Amino acid sequence: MAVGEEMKRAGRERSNEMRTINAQRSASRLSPAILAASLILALGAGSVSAQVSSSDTAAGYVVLPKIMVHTTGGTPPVDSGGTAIDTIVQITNVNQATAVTVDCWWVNANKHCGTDRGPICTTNADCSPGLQCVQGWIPLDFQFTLTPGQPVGFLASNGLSALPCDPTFPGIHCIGSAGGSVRPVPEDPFVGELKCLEVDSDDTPIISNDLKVEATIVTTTVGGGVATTAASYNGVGFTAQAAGSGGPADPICLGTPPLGSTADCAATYAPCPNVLHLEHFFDGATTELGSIASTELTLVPCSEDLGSPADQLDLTVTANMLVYNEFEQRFSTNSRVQCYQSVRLSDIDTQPGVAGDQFSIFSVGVEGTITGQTRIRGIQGPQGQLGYGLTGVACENHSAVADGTVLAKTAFNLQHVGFREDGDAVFRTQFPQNPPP
Amino acid sequence: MSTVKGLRAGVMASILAGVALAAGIAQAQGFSTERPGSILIFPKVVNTDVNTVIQITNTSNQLTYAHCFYVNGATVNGQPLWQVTDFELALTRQQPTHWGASTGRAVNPVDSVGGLDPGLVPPIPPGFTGYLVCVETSVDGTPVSANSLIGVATVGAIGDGGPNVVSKYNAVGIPGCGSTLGPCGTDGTANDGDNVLSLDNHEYAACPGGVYVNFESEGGPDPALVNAGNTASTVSTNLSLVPCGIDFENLIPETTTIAAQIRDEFETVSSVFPIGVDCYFEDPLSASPFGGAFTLSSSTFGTAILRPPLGGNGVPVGVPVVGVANVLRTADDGSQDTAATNLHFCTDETAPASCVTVNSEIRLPTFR
Repeated sequence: MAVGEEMKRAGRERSNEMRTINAQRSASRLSPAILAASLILALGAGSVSAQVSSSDTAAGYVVLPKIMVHTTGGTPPVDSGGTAIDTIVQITNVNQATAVTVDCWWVNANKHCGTDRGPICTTNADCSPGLQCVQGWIPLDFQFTLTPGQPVGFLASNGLSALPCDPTFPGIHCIGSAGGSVRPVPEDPFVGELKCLEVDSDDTPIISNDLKVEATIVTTTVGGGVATTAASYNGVGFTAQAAGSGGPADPICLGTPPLGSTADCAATYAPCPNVLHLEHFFDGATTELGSIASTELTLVPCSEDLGSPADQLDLTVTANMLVYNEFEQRFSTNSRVQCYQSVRLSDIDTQPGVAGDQFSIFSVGVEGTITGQTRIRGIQGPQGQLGYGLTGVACENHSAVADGTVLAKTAFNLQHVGFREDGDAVFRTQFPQNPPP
Repeated sequence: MSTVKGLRAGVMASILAGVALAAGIAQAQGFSTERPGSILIFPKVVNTDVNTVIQITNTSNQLTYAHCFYVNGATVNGQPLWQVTDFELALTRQQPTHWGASTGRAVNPVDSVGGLDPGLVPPIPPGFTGYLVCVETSVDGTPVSANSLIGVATVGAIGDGGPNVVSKYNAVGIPGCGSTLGPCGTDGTANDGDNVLSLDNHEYAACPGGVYVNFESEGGPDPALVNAGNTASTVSTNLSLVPCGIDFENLIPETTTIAAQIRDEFETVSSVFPIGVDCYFEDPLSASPFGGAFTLSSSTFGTAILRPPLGGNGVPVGVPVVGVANVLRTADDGSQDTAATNLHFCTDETAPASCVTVNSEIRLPTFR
């Protein structure tokens, strides 16, 4: 078998593993070339390449790559003197003429000892002897309807049992009727993502771009005394571009499916960026603000299988990172992103924790300059069937020079260049996959 | 480099508040806070009780240059200073650079600031409150549409008994069109190289018709802090706005008037008009121009569209604004932090959003 054939075979096998919701797939399948042609016809020549995911305009599919929760009601709870964390999510329907229905998924990326039902852990040291701390990836879906122009906000730890202007939660100015609910994150503590998709009443993705989403991660010392921090970022939006060749149960495609793909798309959205740009302080740098800075980078794959967590866990994207300092000197390193990765820059190429940080290429001592840029690109894997795009967000910690106490945090969206030639696909559950208990 | 103080007489020429609805433009890239551009606008640069760190990166594999302008928008006796200081940068391929706004950056290969010095960057004076604009140029100062620049700004202070607050935002990037294959689509043209940078979807992207501001009720408690037991917390959002159109040549402060359409979670709609933006706008949502409209009586969260009002012919009266929101959260123990968010661009030209794209220009001084 030729190498190309082997690659295609592997791709088909992988696609078959990941496609778990294809029973209702339309019999008609357009080739990628026809799909691309129809996309161009729909959008006008030259416009396809101009569209790429963005965090500064409303979109039909939005990803919040970093959600964090650990509250006084968690397991274990945050006690007095500890640091409580919660995330405020704000979602707005910018369409002032039409109500929108939104499917959302919390993606639980907590690690657990042994199995998904084991205790939450960070490293193997947190687990009983003989148990490993295993990466988890469990989606939990919910659906709600926003009235025209309606903004809502909620804590990730609480959700919303009823939306404002729901018949059970009326207001004197309510004209439209909101509906559904926002489920709280499934675990406390929680780390993971939130993904939201604009759909119609039949749960079919619609070609409309009405969602503006942002997140603010707030930490505070329970009982007071040390620091309160807040870090905001905008959701990464993928604008809906064209209806796909498939049915509502097929995946949504981010960009043009790669050649050789047999995936039908429920709808096509803007592709993931080709290169992510992170402008950062090198870890340990003393900034002009009087702080010691370090950066935590969160990366998630653009391709997802929300219907089959086990398949998702098999998807690992290698992130290639080119690091430039202010001397134009370049280093590079790679990192494997399995489902969700949130890591201090200095821990990307050294062991977790502060040990060895001074040897990292993200360390100010190694680079010799205060700031730098890191170009991040997902390496296309051998399967060739799905894309290996990445998206993410950066959080910066600013610590006191005297004792290293983190006194302020900030988050910002990654910048980017280009778009993925090989698209990505998001396999999803159809609501309600996980009905409330 | 020259430092220019005071206002000079002149006329801001041809701010073209026109509707750019040509076919194909709706699909074009516009202003962006995450893609490289040929013009960068940092809407909030301060040297007060907090400082600002500017980071700019050349994302291309070619040496590039930039001509930058600090604009001090602080007001004295109710009048904007409109004090402009300009300088030039040279960035090697893929080179990142940075400087603290209060100190600038010297050209000194042996100082403690590592890296290739991009050029002499002047410090801004204490009390500076304004913005920074950088225009990508060739070596002789001619504007070019290479779309190589990205930038971020970090605003805050740590220690020294002051506030422990830090926030970070991405600069607003304006792409140069370059050609019909560029980011403006089929209407794009080559940069004519003159000192009038036309924001018209031909030479550079046109101004987005408005911006969205998502906010928490001004002065209200923060739900996350309340949930952690800090019941006396407060939230306050500070808006920094820059008119989409600048005349550096004649030093005429651009003035525009915008309207805010505000909506809470229970569909309560209110509006505020006029909000004057005279050279620069920097105020919390509790300030008098907003008339208390951002303090919501029955809702925690709200959203607003800021855009110029439409004239009778459906064309915006005045230019829109770009900006950034900086939210201060204070817990009951007095600890606090700020979080900045880039404002979403409103591109929906249909009513009732009515964010109609506006053509404008940035006029550079002639040094060549």
